[in-house]
Amino acid sequence: MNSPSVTPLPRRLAAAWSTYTTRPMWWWFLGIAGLVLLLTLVVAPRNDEPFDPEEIVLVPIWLSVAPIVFAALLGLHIKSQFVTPAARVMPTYRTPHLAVVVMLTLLVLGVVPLVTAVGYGLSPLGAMTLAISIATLTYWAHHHRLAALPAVAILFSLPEPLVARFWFDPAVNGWPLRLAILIAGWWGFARWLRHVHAMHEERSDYLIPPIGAAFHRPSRSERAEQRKIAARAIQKHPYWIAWLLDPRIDRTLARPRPLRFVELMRLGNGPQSTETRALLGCAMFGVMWVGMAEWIDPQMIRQAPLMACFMPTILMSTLIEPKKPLIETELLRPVTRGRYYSTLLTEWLRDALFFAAGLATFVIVLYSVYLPKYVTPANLVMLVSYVAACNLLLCSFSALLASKFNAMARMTILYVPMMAMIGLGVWLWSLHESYGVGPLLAAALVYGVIAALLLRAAHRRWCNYEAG
Amino acid sequence: MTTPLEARSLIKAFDGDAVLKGVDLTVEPGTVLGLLGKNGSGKSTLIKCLLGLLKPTAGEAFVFGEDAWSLSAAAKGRLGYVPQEVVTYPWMRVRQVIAYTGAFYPTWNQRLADDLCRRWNLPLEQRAGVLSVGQLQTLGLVLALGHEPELLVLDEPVASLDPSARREFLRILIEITGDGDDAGGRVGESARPRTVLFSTHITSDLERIASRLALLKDGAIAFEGESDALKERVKRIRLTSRNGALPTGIDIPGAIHTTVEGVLAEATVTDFTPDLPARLAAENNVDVAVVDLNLEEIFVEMHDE
Repeated sequence: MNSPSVTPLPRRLAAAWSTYTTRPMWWWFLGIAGLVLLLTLVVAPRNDEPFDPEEIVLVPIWLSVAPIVFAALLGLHIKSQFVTPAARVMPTYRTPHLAVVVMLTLLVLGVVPLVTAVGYGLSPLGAMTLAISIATLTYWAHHHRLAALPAVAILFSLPEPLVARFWFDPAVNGWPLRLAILIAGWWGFARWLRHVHAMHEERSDYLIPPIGAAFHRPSRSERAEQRKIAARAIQKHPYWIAWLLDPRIDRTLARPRPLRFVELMRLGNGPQSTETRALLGCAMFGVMWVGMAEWIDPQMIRQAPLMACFMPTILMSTLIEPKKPLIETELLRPVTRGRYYSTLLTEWLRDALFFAAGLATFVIVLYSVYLPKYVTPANLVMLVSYVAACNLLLCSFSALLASKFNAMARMTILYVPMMAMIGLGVWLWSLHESYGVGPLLAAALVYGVIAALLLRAAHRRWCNYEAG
Repeated sequence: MTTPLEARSLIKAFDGDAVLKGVDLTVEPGTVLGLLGKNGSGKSTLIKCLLGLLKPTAGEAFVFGEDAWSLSAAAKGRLGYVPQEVVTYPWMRVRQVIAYTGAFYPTWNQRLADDLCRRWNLPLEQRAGVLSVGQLQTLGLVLALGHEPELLVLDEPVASLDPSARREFLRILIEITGDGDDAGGRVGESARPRTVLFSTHITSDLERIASRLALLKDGAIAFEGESDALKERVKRIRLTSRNGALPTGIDIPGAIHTTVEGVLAEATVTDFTPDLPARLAAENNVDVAVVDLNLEEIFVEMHDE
């Protein structure tokens, strides 16, 4: 008797499901998201007061960040399942894997916003519409980087009361538009499933971006894959590697010229040029502040430079992780181990400082518009010094940790010094009226010294890094 | 019985550069076909086109008579593939990866998978992410063999294996492709004839197991046939003149390389026939000696042409 050509669907679904249940990352997500959802509901105000965006500051963040994180992780997971030959040569492979994605998406992007909206008396339709819209854009961002921009724009526009009211206020009579966006969101999700279903080797997006490895320790085969991708990208875009962005933007900003040694070292260092990263990072920061300007106390703008301290550190994580798989081959170039790592560390710091300079410029503009009385040469020197020193310290610390920890672990460890520096900065800045720029400049000097020590330690540790 | 693999006038170009320039290849049931070719000759591209991983620019590829690009689940269930670089879930244990893969194949033979893991010393409780390159390749072989495929396609499968694992792999390959009862149920109990397409650089492996050879050169099949036939066709001929130096432009039919030094000439011919020595001796007044070549020598000679 001939055996059936396919195994029972429940068995295949269980197999596809096992790729999630065996992955620690998903248990972390489930634990953290479950805890946050529980806390959100515990503290939910149960009253019939009219919608006030200022009372639910964290809820929009939760309702937008959770779908983004979920879609980023799920998109990465599913993409890694579909960029292998298995997706095309294993029988009935695609249906169960995509079915699990549909189930998870319905569950997470349906239940989380619905429960949160009911708990806080928000519009369930608006909350669910926001979740699927932002998640769909994030799913697509795994294939076309530009899709990330509207997702980020939505995220940073939420502090704006008008925008928040549109999504969350049940009194706003915007259900036809919300429904239309909801349908568009799910339609985009269905199109994404179709796109993934038809993935094959000749598609330009048939690769897993190395940044995915920032969230776990990459395996041998993943490192091999990353090396392959890096080589392919370098071949395609010599020097100005562009994965996260449309290459056209990068090319516009690029100025082709002969490469120096330090620039060669930067190959594979990041998905875009330093200039592109800095420009976009500052633009993102700018959108956030401009969006918040009407909503927050203008005096809070005083703290803008202190809030900017951590941004380059976050961006730096995107540089170190893609570099790691390349180190084992690059170390064999005709350069000493010491020089190799000192150049690498210098490049990382340079990148962070470049970004910090962009942020400092932005902060000066912000002060000129909102707090012109603070725009004095002494203040500017102090603010720029403090931002630069904070960045140097955090980046040096990050570089020290990077030889041992992945990006996620680094960010967790760095959180404490980062918050301490912001807190200290806010306090010292508040003493400005009485003591002038002295305290902040002194703090910046101390940070600089600590940064130099950390950098030295980082260099020593990297020189003992076991690549491969 | 349907032909397991077939390429008809297959052309594959990347950005206008043709890697395959009209490949015609048929792999008959029960055949172990060794695919030989230099680096970059298009072996992997051919295999990928044959399996529907790449879309041919022109021409056709068939697996069990079905268009390779849109294979049915039934055809995929009869197929096993080991790519050059095996990719799997790094966070899953070997045991879990095997169970996961088995769930997709109705003919999955867990006893066989367990047996192969034992013979190859695969650590079942180890996470796949920390396996060595060789262990990963071995795992790929277990996953490809576990459902006892009728067609096994291997893209340089032994390059990363140590000599003992390689020997064991070849032994298993011989068992699964062996004639009927030879398999003895040790490596699967299916009575279906096994067909293997096997690309490698290790010509000694091909000599051990391949019943037929296909030589890919300049994007086309330069030779396809039994390995013995190739050895019969490609020979080295040594000519020794009986009366003085040989002319440098001596004409040897089918010669791809000819060197002449005084009274001695040596040539590699690709169209050797048993009457050729006698003909050459009569036409050039020379003594002729014929030297057999092994596969590696033939490979080098044909590619240095």
